[in-house]
Amino acid sequence: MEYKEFLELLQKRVGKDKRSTERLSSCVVKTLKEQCADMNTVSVKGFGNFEPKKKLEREIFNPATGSKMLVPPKIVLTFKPSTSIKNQLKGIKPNE
Amino acid sequence: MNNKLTILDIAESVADKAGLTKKEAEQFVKEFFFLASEVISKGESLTIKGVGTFSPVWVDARTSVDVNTKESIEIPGHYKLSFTPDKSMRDAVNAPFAAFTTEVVTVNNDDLQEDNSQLANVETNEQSEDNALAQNENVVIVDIAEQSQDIDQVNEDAQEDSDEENKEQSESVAEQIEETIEDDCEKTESENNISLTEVETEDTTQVFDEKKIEKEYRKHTRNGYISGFLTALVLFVVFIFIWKFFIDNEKGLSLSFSSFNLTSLIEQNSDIDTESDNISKNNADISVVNPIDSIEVVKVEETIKTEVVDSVNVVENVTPKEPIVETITRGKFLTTIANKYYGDKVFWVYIYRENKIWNPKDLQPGDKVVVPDASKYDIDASNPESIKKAKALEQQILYEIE
Repeated sequence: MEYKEFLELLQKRVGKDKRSTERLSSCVVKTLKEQCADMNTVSVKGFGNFEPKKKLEREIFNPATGSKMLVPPKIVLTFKPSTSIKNQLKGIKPNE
Repeated sequence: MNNKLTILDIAESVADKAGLTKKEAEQFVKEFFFLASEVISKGESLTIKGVGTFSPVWVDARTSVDVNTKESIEIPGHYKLSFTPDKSMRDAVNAPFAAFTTEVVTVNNDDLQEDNSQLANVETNEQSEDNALAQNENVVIVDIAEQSQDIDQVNEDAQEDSDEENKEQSESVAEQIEETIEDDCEKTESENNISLTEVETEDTTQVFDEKKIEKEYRKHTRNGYISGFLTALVLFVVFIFIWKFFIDNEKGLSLSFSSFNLTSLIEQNSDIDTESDNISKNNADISVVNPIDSIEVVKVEETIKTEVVDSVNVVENVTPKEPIVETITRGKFLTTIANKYYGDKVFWVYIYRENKIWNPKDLQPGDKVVVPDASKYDIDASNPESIKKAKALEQQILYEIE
């Protein structure tokens, strides 16, 4: 689902006009981003945890060129879905 | 740093930002995430701009071992959620380490080994040189000793008068030998050379072939250096000479030219004077013959003048800095306005800045937008720098909007 669709659904639920819905959700996203950039874990009940994690630097080997590369350390945002979402996803059967 | 935040904390900051009460904000945030979890739970992928994409991934069935009973069990295929953060989110989170880039590792061990081998080589070379020097010294000393013996023998055969001279010579040689033994290797070399030259003058040249060859070789190399230096010097001098010559020539030429020109100009002037007389006469003739033409010419001049004045007026009309106000209608965006007034849609950012619009999407038909003067923000569609600047600003604004 694209973001636009999502916003439309949200608008219907919240019962606000389109403009303020967009503005508010952009505020939510912004705060989430700020907190994650500050290395804070954001846990949302029933949804999951957003957790920035530090990854150490590592060496990789490119077999094609035969050169060793040093990958720098970095911080990656991870998301762990809540158990309810996990279970519900497990319950879905492949629709093939 | 490293705090665990809940919905309440987020709702608080959202309330601050959007100017809502805490309760409203909390409700909204809860609704936001509830809807998101609902969508995801249905097995749909969801993209939230500025956060990332949540998408279900199918995991195939696999066999595993129960840790407790040690029986093999089959884990059935299922969906699991994968989350890939947005680019803007990724960059924001990774901001402290953004400066690092992946680099090729150069293998340091090989370099070290090479260094060692080189060092070893240098050492061995030094040693061998020392050895050679020592050997040379020995040889020279022995040679000189032999020579002195020869000289002694010659002395025995020679007459008494010459005996004394020879003795003196041999004594001098002996003194030299003593000196060579006492002195350092470098000094001995040079003194050996001197003694060798002296010995050579006494026509005892047979034994010194090796030494001679070495000396000649050195002479050659020295000559080579000297000759190289000399040729370089000569070339340099020749170059300077030519250069100077050239400049002098040029000056001389230009001078001669200018003088020539002057004289010719003077001549021409005199000619022109006479000619202008003729022309005035001709003009008079023409005016007599074709008065209509001249009138037309005057007319044309007048029209040109009026045109020039008009154009000046036009320029004056354009320059007054009354801001252009554009009304937003359906199908008219900031980008189209920018394209219309500045020649490039990139410059919409300046209109945005000028009007302090919160979100370009908020603009409604009927809203009025002030179009700033192009010179206010250095707007120039033909200047790539200006476009680049505008694009950077665009990125920033887009980031702010998110």
